[in-house]
Amino acid sequence: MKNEDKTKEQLIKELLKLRKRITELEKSETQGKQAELENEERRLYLEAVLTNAPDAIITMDAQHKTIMCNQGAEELFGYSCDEMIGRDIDDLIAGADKFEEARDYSKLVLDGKNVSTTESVRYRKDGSPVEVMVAGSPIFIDNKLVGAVAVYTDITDLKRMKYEIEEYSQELEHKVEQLQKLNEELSQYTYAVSHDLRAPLRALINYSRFLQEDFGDKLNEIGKDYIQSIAENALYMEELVVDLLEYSRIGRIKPKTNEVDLGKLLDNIISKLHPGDNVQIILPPKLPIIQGSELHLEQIFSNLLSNAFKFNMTLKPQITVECLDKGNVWEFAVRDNGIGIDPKYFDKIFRIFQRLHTQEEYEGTGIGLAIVKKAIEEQGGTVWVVSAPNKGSVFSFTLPKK
Amino acid sequence: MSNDNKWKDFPVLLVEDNKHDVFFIKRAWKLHKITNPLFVVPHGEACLQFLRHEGDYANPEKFPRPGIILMDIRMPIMDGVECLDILKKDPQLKTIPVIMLTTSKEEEDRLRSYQLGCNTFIQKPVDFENFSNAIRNIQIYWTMSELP
Repeated sequence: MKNEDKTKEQLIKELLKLRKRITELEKSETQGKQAELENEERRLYLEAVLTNAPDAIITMDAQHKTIMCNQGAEELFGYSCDEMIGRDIDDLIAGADKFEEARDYSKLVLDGKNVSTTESVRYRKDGSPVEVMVAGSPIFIDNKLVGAVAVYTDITDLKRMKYEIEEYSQELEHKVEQLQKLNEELSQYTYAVSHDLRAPLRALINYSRFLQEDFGDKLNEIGKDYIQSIAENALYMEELVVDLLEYSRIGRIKPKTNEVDLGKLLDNIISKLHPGDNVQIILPPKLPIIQGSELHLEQIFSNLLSNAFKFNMTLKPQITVECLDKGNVWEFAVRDNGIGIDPKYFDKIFRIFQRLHTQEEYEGTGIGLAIVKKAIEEQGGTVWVVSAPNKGSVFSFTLPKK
Repeated sequence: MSNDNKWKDFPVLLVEDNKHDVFFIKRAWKLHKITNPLFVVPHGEACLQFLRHEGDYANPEKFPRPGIILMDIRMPIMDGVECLDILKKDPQLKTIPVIMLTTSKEEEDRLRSYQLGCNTFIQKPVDFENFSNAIRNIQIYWTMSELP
């Protein structure tokens, strides 16, 4: 009984062992199947990658015979995979003119060399050429060369775009040349205006002066008035020509950028303007030295300051110049107690030849503020005005520090 | 004015094609009682002939070497810039001071950029009074500079 029990016990043990073994075997079988499944999945995945790649991909053996090709290759060259497999691909697509080049390239690759991509032409089944980028690379398995893979990228669109860009840039260059020529012509034109137009004006002004000086006593008051009018009009025209030249000069000539001592510059401008003893000009205690064009800065301040006391009916014109450091920019203001401007004219006053008064009220050419705006913008700043009739005006502008 | 005599000795050559401008300069001469002989030639080529005693100006007695030249810019045949360039390269002539008569600040800037080596500029003002003052300044400039 004891023995029987023992045998029974042993049998159960064996049985349990066997069961465990079966479970283990079952488990390993599932794992094996799973591995197989995974391998299949990976293969399908790689095949999908190859098929869906936009480029033509062809693999070949060491004897240069096509082993595999993708959909991209069929689409690019018009041959079916069946037609390509087993054939030397260069026989099909290299054409007579590119055969040598293709052969040399393949040879290098099949020698196991790394060859850089190259631009070339291949031929479709119907004989039509296609511009391609060819990339070849040897395939090694366990350090043994088994063949090569060739990738052809269709660069027809790329080449067309490149060609178009070249065409556009040539066109652009041509336009720039034309513009430079026009600019040169304009330069000569304004030069001619400055010299040739001003010569007769100079003569007119001077001769009317001489007439007044030498024969003034032989003329009555009306005669003297007439001569005075000739001189005044000729002088006004001269002023217009000078202002127009200044205006055209701002955009035409790129002035040099220097360090400009604004304190010195403003002192110079004020002494040139002869503002009159009743005019008070208050400058900030300290004006900065800034980077900019002296020519432009002179035009800006000179026009704003002269306007400030010109358009002023008070007995004591007072002009204040302000300067604020705003980080990236300087902000300047020229404040006056003059006649002021209706806000509806704020835009108008900066346009060339726009005037709000007759010559009899206030003399001027209507170019000053246009010059100011152009010069400020040329320096990378902006200008604006705050004013109201009889309340004075504040012309403010920024200049970048750079 | 101890230099007065020295100043009086030198003739002035005006290179100018515009007869009105010539007239204005002559009037300024009279106004300031400048006694220096004033010679006038109409363009750069004539200026060179005058200085080299060639062609119509062969007689050095009649057409003496000037102490100063006043030169217009825009002239026919040879303009002032070309003439000045030739003058300053000529070892015989480069020592004569040249004053360029300009019509605008821009023209002056442009001339400066050429670095032609002229001695000074006078802007032709529309205002005769200013212009004759400029002529007067030449006289002062002259008496102060050490001329050969």
